[in-house]
Amino acid sequence: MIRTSLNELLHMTRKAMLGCGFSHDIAEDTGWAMVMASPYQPDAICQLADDLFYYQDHHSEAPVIADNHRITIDNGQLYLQAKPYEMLGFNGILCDWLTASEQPLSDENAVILKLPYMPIVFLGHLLWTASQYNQQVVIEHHGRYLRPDQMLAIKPDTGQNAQEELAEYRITMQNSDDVRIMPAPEPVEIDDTGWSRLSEFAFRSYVPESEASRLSGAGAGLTDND
Amino acid sequence: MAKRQSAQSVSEIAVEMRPASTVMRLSRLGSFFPHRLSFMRILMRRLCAEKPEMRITYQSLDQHGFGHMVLTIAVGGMDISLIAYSRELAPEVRTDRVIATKWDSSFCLFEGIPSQSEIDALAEHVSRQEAGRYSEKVLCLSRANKSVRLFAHVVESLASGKQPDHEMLIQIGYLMRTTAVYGNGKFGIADRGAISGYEAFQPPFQIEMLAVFMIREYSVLLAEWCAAQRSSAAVTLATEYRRYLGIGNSTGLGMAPFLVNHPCLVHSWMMVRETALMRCRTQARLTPLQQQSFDRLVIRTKTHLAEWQVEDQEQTRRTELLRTEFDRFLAGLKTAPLPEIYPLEDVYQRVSGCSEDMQELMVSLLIEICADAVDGLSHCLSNPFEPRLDASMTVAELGALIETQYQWALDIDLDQPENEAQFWYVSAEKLEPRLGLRFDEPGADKEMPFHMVRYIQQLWAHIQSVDGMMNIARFMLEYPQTRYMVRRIQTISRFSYGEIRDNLVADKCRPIDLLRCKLSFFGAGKFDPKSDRWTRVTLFQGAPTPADIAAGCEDDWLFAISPPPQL
Repeated sequence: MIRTSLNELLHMTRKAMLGCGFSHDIAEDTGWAMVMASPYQPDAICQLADDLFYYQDHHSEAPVIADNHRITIDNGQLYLQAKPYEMLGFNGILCDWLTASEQPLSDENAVILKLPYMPIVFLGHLLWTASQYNQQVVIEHHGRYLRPDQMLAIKPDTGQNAQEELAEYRITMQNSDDVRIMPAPEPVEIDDTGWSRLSEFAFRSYVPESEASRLSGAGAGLTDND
Repeated sequence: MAKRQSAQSVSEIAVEMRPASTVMRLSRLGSFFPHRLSFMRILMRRLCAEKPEMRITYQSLDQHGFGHMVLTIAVGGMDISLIAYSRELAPEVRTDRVIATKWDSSFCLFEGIPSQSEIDALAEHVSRQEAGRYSEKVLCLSRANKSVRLFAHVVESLASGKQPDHEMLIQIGYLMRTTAVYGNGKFGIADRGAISGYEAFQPPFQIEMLAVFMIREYSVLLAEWCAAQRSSAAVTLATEYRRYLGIGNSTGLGMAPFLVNHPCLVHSWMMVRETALMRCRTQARLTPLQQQSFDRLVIRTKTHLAEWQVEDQEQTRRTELLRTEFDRFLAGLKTAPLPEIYPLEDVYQRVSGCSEDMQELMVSLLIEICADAVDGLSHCLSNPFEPRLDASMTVAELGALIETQYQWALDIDLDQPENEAQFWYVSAEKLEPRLGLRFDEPGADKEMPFHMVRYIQQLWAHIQSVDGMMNIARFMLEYPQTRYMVRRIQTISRFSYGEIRDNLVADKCRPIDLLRCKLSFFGAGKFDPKSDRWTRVTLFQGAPTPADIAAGCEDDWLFAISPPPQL
């Protein structure tokens, strides 16, 4: 395990997402999602690293853009069936959908997902969205109603069986006085293997410095022993 | 300037705050000066009010000044310690570049007073800076190199019972220069969120400023220690010199992206400064004390400008013009004294036709003399909000926002290569922001999201192709690639000072304007540009010393000037 600050976690995630071809808004949001989710799930970072690995396997071309043709809308209900790793590209716009409740959409927007399991990163996204809009997210699953933080407390089964069986999740956003805001600004213990894998993805977002740039950087051209 | 009658004896004056389209231009940002609401000043005012004593809590230095020293000060009732590790550094490895891996001194700011075992445990990490790993007990991380010439001279002089050469001390102005100051969670240190919970550290960068202030004191103590080891007749540095010495710093591109990446926060900084200016302009009369302050301050400013000598030709040209304009302003005060009613609005109007340097210099002067009206604004410098998307807005409403906030970007012709000649990126070598040439260097596909002009123009084209009544949630399904910019536009509509109204990738973009803006908010002055990409500054020059603070003093050091020779 490695102990990181929340700011470190946010930016490592952001850079890893950029390194894998995601846009800056998705990268930033995913950073916040990890900040929200990791205090509940120390291995959230491993799931993200796995998802990025799968994404690289299946979508090698950058930039990554959500495939909107897979989304159907019926009177404010947004339907999507996806593999967990594919959710990385959709997380942002699904949360946006939840926050839009005025005409011409119906009064209550909902997102209905068919997934083998609920990805930790998406739950973090939902928490981040709820905190930003000061609302409560409710997830209906098998007749139970849970908040994202309650679902995060239950580690999902991500095994082979879970990959094959699809379950339905109906997500809505509601006004509430009991909103999960931000985690305490305390360091989090996270899986060090996941951290290393994210670091490798992050490295892809960097650019080798040109000689011209190096020669014009701060401190260049001066006598350092003056 | 419209005036309206009120029930008061003095008619109220209607003054409009300067709009973002005026303030947020690169050339104006690059003309900012330190001011009363700069972060160093806020820290110093707190210290002056609390009068804490800075004390040496541990010291283990050898005769050459190598070892460690711990300084502790109580701020807002909380003990904070600077742990300073000093080592011998061969001349060939001493470099101010960010690529350095060894330094004369390395530091961390520590919550509380460290135990000996904590000092020992941190030594290995702090000496390696970015390569180390830290806990949340560490609040800030920094390193510094000596000004070898001045440090050796000061030690030698003090050891021989004399004060250092006046000219040399004034010319260099610092014993050490920092090459980085890290805060906010870097390498595992405490998150900003943890620190800002303390009232004393709620304004931005207070921890980082405190670290530099303590490093400044350490640099003098280290020189005095070395002098004392050489001779029992050694003297301490004269108080005037102690006060004048600051901490040098080389600031480059690493600082620039902050102003783009934190639109909500930057809006708050600018809003506070502009609000302060407006409060000054609408002050009906000056008190006798304020009049005295103003008179004293303009004289000091004249000397300060005369002492601001740099090698950079462009800065020299600007400073010369500024001196001329300032002299003209002073001469004008003699022939046409300030009116009794709304004198500061009169000052503001007098310089409105001058250079941006002169206008912004005057902003700092006006704010300085209105302490009672502006000091409370320091609590408005933070901003808890992050950019967020309003998915229920219509595309037509978004279009209207673009027209009001981003017309400048729509007007730029991207068919002209010079308008996107550069790109910002993060370097693989040091993970630092850099600027590349788009058409000559690889890496533009990984550029930082600073090409607002292109994003706006692409988005503008997309919104023309859909029904204006479509809401943004649905628009995002159609054009998810525009989400970053849509969110930014909506954010800027609420935080209008959060966007720089200039093309940051044009060949004419001068990153140093961004640096100067941020450094002015830190409280740095006497900018000494070494190119259009980096500048030298000296921090805390002329600020009260820890002894001044403990004894009780005022926070009155804007545009500090050099002391007379000390014997």
